Amino acid sequence: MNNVFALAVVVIKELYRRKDFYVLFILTALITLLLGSINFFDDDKIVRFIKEIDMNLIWLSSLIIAITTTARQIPSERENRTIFPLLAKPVSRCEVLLGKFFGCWLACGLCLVVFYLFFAVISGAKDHSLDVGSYLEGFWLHWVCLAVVISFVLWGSIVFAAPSSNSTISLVLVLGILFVAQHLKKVSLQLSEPGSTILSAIYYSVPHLEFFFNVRSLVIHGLPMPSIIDIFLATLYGGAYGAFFFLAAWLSFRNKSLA
Amino acid sequence: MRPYLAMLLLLVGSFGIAARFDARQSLFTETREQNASMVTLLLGDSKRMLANHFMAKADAYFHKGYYPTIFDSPKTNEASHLIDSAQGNARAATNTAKVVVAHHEGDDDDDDDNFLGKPTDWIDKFGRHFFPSTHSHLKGQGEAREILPWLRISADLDPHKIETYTVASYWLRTQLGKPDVAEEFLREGWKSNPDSFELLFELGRLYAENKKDTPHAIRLWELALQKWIKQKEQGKKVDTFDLEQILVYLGRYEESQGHFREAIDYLKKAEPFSPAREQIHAQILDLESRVK
Repeated sequence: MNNVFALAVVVIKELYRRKDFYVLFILTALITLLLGSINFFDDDKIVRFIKEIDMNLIWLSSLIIAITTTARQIPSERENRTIFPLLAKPVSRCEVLLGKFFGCWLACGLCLVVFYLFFAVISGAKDHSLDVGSYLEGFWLHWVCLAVVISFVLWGSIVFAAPSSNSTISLVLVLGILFVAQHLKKVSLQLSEPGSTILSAIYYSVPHLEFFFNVRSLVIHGLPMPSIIDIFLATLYGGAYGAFFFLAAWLSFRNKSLA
Repeated sequence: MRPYLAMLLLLVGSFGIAARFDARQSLFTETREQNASMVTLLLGDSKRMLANHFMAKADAYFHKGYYPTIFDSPKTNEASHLIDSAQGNARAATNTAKVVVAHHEGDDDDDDDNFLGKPTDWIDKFGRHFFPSTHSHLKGQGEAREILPWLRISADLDPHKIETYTVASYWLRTQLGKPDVAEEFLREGWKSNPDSFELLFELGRLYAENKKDTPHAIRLWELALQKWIKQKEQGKKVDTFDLEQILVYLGRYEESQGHFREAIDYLKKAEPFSPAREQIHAQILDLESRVK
């Protein structure tokens, strides 16, 4: 466990040494503040418009950070040949993967804390109220979603040849799932065979990340959030998919030639 | 000598190119000024599509995020509720279809508007806990303002989309108590759409209902009526609902002034287009009895 923790700390340190997060956070803050300063019909109490833009930017930034950070972990260790001394120590390949996963997940969690704090400050300043419970639930579901994405990209970093291809394919797939996955069943019902069965199979097999993504509408419009049981079930659902992709990554990595 | 000739040639060439580019740049600048914004220049005709998207976004906000996607097929209400709501208020004012307003001001959880239908599987059922899945509307002054940014953006992208101005004006003057801002926006729309009878009618309502300046409102409605007739004569597709609204409002004014015959004339013209002909007919009979 100490090995996993030590590896995770290295990933977190790497994230705050790199400029990715700072650039994305400053961009998000700048765009939000710029749009927040626009006056629509002499009304300075309009808040949902800015909350929506901010939330969307947070989602986009967090996905970029999660995917790019995870995608380069294993390939950079192999490219710099640091993977060999790492594995020469009493560290198993599974521990390396676990360390990388938890490092990326915790690093993304830290970024999300900063993003959500900014979101809360902007919302509070405009709305003069702070729905901490909703923001916490939104944050948690967002973080669970990133766990699934990170474990998927970790698998991709072993399967795909380069971090760039892994990042691009992962981003396209994740965005596709977020925006289209929930509608696949409706589309499949209108198709003829075998298209209908194929689409239904995809619908039931992909991780429905939109559960976590769609919560932002509830946060933006100040609607009641899902119950604790729903959040628990969604966490289990996300955890199961995260574990599945992690297992796939470990199966691909355990006998892989690193030379 | 040759280098000097080459230099001269290059100089002439540069001058020619500069003059050519200057002419193009002037044309480019003129076009840009005509189009008024960089967004217009960059987006071209696709800005209309985007304007529709932002209008739909305003409608989605009106429903607190409960809104069909392109994959959902609304069963009953294909038209925008946001526009319906603004028009429904006009209908109520003319006593023709209070039902429309009753729907939009009251019943939030209306089964007819459940475009989601019954869940098809556990993923669908469970997923509905994570997004707005019940029908509700923005209520009160505090929430109504939230639709305005999307309407403003929609109007900027497509200044010829009349509904954007009339809907924004309706919300500004009835829910947010800002008739002056509504008037400014309507006049902005009128500038871009000088032949619009809808904008004149809404401007008239603003003068009649908010500024209590009925004579001004009448002049605007009469102008709106002229514009409607002119467009009809030109063979343009015009909505008879608007004509009915204008005529009924004019009829009500004449009635309030004691000009019953003029009121009857307007109502008789409105009757064939009204969805509540019986009510209009009863009003005509009432006015005729008062004339006698």
